[in-house]
Order: sequence, then structure tokens, then C-alpha cells
Amino acid sequence: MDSQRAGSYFPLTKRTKQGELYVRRDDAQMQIEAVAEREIAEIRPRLYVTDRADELYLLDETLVFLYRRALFERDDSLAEAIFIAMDVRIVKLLLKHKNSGFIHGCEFDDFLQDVRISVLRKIGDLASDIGDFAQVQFGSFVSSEAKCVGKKNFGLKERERIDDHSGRDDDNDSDLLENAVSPDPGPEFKAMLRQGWSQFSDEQRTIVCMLLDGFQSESKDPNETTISSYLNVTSRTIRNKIGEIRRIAAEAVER
Amino acid sequence: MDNNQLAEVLEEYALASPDEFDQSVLRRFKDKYPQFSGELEDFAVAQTIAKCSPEVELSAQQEAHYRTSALEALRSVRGEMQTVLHSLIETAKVKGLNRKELAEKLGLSVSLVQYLEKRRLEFSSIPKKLIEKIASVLEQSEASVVEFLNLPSAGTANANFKTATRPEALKPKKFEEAVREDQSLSHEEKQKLLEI
Repeated sequence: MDSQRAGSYFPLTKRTKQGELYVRRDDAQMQIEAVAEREIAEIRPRLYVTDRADELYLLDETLVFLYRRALFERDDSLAEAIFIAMDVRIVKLLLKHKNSGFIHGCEFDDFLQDVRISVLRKIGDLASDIGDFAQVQFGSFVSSEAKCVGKKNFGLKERERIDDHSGRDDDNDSDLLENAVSPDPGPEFKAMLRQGWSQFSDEQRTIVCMLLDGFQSESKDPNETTISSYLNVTSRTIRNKIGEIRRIAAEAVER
Repeated sequence: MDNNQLAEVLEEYALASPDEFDQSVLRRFKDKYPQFSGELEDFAVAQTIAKCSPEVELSAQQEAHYRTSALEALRSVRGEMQTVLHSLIETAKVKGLNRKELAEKLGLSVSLVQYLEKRRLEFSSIPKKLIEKIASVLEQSEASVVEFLNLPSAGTANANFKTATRPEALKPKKFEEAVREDQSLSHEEKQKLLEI
């Protein structure tokens, strides 16, 4: 890249609170360095590659870099094409949360539009380091923007959780917790969970994801984030829910 | 609660989190930012859902629908960007001018350009002719230059500090004062600027 092209859109300049410079993942950095030398005509077809396993697939962080470079070079047509490719990924990510707390209480399309605008403002800001996070962890960046956009709705969700809590069925929970164990689901159960995915309700899917990612179902420590504390249900209830998930998954495997 | 602060906390948490959920990291952040405890939990679970859910497939009809609204969002933000000037120096860069060249074109010193960039000059003291010149050199409307120069001072907005508290914002100077104090300008250059 010549000196002009290596402007503020190229190197990351933001630092963590510990003073460390933000760093892209190795794969993203390597891909960016490779595409930075390519002609636009070579890059455009790659925007339509959606198979992650394809060697021409452009990583999310690379798309952010290319978008910023297109803005810097005032290439509106390319910036538009890049954003459309990026937007499909944003939509798919947010659709995963469609029926979860992230979007609770508002129309998905309205929420999506607000998130898009927030994302565009940050990744399009070439004068500051505010877009650097998007070039380091794009998925987390979008989720963070979504969280901020939907804060009012989350507040609503929090209140509902408190309301639910007032009527919880926590008889003898302390006895249950005496022997509380949250074993790792194990590879067999994990495989079952994946097979039963289409049969699960939204809440069951949240529980399944949390189990797969290593959250404990319950804990004696009230400060620990567990599946039961997150859903604000009792140990008894979460055990029943996991039992139901296990039953549905087993049925799906048998079919 | 401030949304910008929340975004910063979530960003810090995401950067500190390993690929797999780590209870100890979440706990550390909940202890550090108790005011965002609920948001951090929601965010951690959202990351888990994003990671562990199967890929969502879109129909051709859905893709067309989302594409239309994506373009609307893009045009809306592009409209904002075009009418609002975000930086004199960055805008000059797009025109192929570095700081020094911009200063020369405007008949200013680099430090005076920096004063303008950081909005550390009292707007009312900036000569109208200088505003016209900035608009002309940067090929922007005078209105957008005026709007930019009226933005709050950018002195401490994105800076990192070694102390726990931010330093107090510097009081904007009058244009004449900044010119007189500028040691890189000759006496003649100062006179010329003061006569604008």
C-alpha cells in the first residue's frame, strides 16, 4: 500500500485500558494484507462467496477493512456492495437472537435497522479509532451494538424476570443444592442436543447453547452466572427443563 | 447509565474473553462494573447463542427484503456523513493534503490547524474569511465547516489518561490569542492573520 492508502483506516490505533494496541486475529490480518494489494475487480466476486470453507471467503473483519477503504477512496459503489455482503452476516447473527432477550419487546425489522445504523456510524468513522473493535471481533462488535440499541427492551426483560421471580416454585431448593452438580453434558449428549435442535423451543435453545458452551445449570454460589440464575428459575425447574430437553433430543435421535 | 460507557465495557469484556465461556472472566467484570452486571450476563449469553446456534439460512425473498432495508440504512448514514464534517485533517487527507500542506493552503501554522481541528478556539473569534477559506480548500459547504467548528472540543474525548480522573477540559482560546502565542509564525505572518 502506498503512504496515502495506509491512512487511518488501515492500522489499528486503539489501545486497551492496559495500554496494549488492538490486534487483529492472525487469519484476518493475513487476509487483509493479501486483499489490500488486489484490484477491486478481483475483490468484488469474493463478496458473494458465502461458504466459510471456500478459500475465497472474506472474513467479517476483512469486509470491515474493505468497507472503510472504499469510504476513504470515495468509492460509493464498492462500499455499497461490501455493506450488502456484511449486512447478510449481521442479519443472520441477529436472527439467532430474534426470540431472545436481545430483541424482546420490539419489531425485529425496527431493531435491525437501528443496529445497522449504529454499526455503519462506527465503522464509517475514519477520523477516530471507534471502528477498531469491529476489525478485531466483528461478531462481538455487532452484539455489543445490539445490546446498546436494545437497552430499553432489556430493561423490560429484566423487570419481567423480577416479576417471574416473585412467583417462583422454590420449595426446598436449598436441599436440592446440597447435592447440586452440573456435570459437563458429555460428547454423546452434546451430539443429541445438536440433532434435536429443530424440535426445541426458543427457551430450550438458549439452555442448549448455554450447556454446550460450558455454563453450569446451577450453583450454590449466588454470584455465579448459571443457566438457572440467567433464566431466573429454581434448581428444580432447571432440572425439569433439562430433563425435557434430554427427552426431546433422545426422541429426535431415535427418529 | 450511559450507552457509550456500556459499549466500552462490553468491548473490554469481549476482548478479555477466551473463545469458550469463562465464568471467572464474567465474574471479574461483574465485580468491576456492578452497574452493568445484567448487561454483561446478557451479552455473555448472546455470545454463547451466536457461537452455538446453527447457521441461519435466508430465503431469496428474505434476502431481497433485508437488502432493501440495508440500502436504506446505508443511504441514511451516508447522507449524515456527507452533511457533517468530522475532521478537517482527515478531509484534507482525502484531497491529498497532509497537515502541513493544509496549513500552507490556509495560511496558518500547523499548530493553528490543530487548534481548529480540536475546536479549541472560540468560534466567535474565528474570522469569517478563514471559515470561507477552509470551506473552499476542503471543498465543503461553509455551513458544514461552521457546524464542525461549533462541535464540543475534542481535546479529551478519545484520549487515555494515566490518572483515574479525566483532566478538566481546556478553555477555548480566542483566535487572536492563539496567533500571538504561536512561536512558529513570524511577526509578519502574525500581523497578516490578525488583519483577516
